[in-house]
Amino acid sequence: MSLKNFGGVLDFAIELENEDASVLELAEKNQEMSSYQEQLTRLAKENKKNAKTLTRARQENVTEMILEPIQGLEVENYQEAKGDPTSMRKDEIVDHLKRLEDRAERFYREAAIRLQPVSDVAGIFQRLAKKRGERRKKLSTLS
Amino acid sequence: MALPIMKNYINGEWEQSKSADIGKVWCPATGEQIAQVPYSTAAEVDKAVSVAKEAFEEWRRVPPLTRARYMFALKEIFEDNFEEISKTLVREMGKTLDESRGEVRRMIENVEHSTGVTSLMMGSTLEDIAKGIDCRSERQPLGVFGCIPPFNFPAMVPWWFMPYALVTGNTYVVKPSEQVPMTQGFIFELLEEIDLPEGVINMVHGSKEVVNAMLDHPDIQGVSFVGSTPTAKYIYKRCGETGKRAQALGGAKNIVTVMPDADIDKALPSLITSFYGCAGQRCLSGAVLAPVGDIADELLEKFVAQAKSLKLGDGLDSSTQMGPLVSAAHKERVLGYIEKGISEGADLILDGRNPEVDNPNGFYVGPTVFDNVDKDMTIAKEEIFGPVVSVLRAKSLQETIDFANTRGMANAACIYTASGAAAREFKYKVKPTMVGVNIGIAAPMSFFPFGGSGESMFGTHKGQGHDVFHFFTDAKVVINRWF
Repeated sequence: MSLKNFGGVLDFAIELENEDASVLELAEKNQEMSSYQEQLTRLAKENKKNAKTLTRARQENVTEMILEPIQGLEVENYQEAKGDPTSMRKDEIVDHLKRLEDRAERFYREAAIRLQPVSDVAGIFQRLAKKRGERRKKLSTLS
Repeated sequence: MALPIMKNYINGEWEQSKSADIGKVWCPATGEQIAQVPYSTAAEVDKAVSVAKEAFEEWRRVPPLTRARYMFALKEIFEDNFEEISKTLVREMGKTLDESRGEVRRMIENVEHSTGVTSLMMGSTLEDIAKGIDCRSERQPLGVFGCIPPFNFPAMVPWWFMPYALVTGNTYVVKPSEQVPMTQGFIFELLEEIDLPEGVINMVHGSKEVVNAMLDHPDIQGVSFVGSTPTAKYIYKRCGETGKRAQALGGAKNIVTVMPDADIDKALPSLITSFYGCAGQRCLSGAVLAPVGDIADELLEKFVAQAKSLKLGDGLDSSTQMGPLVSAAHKERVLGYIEKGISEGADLILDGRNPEVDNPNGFYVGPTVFDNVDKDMTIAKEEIFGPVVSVLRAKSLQETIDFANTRGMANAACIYTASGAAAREFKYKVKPTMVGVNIGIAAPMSFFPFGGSGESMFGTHKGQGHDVFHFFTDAKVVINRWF
């Protein structure tokens, strides 16, 4: 499926943040991750904050002047198996979380290019790409 | 189950109209009826105007900053209900959810701009206009104003005017378009939350009888209208006869000039949205695409390829890029223009008459392009208000300027070019008063005036901007001398 317009891209990003938050919350429940609960809680909270920022961007940055069609963003390129972090081993969980960060970083980076006409939102996507890249590095320290 | 019948809002109460004359409200994406709207009576208009007139006496005495605070509260409520307003709009009008969000954003921006009333309503003073004599000009509200908006922007257009009328101390009666009454109905439900004094704002649903009752009513001081040119003319004339202020915004036939030096790839997405956004149902839509010189073939090849790829469908589906037309009748009207283009000899290079859509009962017409359109053809002269592009191959910039200046309707005009000189010449000479340079939809934001020229606008004060504060206030000049 293609993301063909501004709202579609933002909807996908919001869903991605909420889904990633849910994965982190499930990971928190896994006994093997008990020593990392604080970090996981913080990351999930950050995902929810990102979702709010994106919702606000969708609400405040749409104007009829710049509702230009978007091309070349395929949902299939950003799919990641959900998995069940409650029944995974610690190393599996960390790998899974890192893959989610990679996916998010790549999506935000590539979508930012396509959202250039809506420069405020492109800027938000660039910032989120950077943030998610940094989060991936932090997750590497858990393994 | 019977479909809901829209209610009027008069004096802070929801009232069922006593009229037995009921119209249908459709979902353009599915072709299903979704609500009913009463064609209210002149007596119901009279009731709304009477309570608004009574409320005016107190409301005008409320300090402007306090009136502005109602708008601050309203902005928050609109933000909280942003998605719900947008979705209601999609259901009854058909545009895409993104387009609806864009419209609701514009609506809120007008609420925001209106809160500047404490500066924007301010008068002026000059000491010693003669020795020992001072003069000041104050801006005063006038009383009850009315609004008759169109079907294509059911959320935004009433709010080009309404917040300004309210913050300047006037009271208001709005008649939503009978084709799309649900959005404003929902907005009025939200309005109740800010607890405006009763009678300050009123809504009467209906059609011609309500319009004529508003135009004839001696206690309505002015009317803001947006719609077709013939109706705008009618409104303006009738307001003149009954001594009302009027701002009557009419139709458009907007030209989009593409110069040989334009960057086609950069321009293309905004050209597509200019012609096909809201399925061409907006007064700022491109109608005539005028490539100048030898850029035409390459431009058209790319333009048609992209237009063909647009996904039509229900606006609530986030993958939809173009929604249906507002009604079956309007669809027939647009199809009639396509037939006219063919019969007058234009080349139909993209035919949108039978588009592939999930729900064939919806009122869909696909992207359509006519090449080699002559300036005297009907499709080059009349407003189609649909996704139909007339390509006028021009030899020079001046030819496109002449075209823009001879349509009668002079709403908007756009130019795509890398040349500052060409852009300046274009904006300097064209009659349309909303001009885009490398922008396909020249939509002024709330702090700039909105409205065209020629047969696209009748009246002296435009919507939005500073103009609208003048429309809703009268200048009272006081000359003082103290002995």
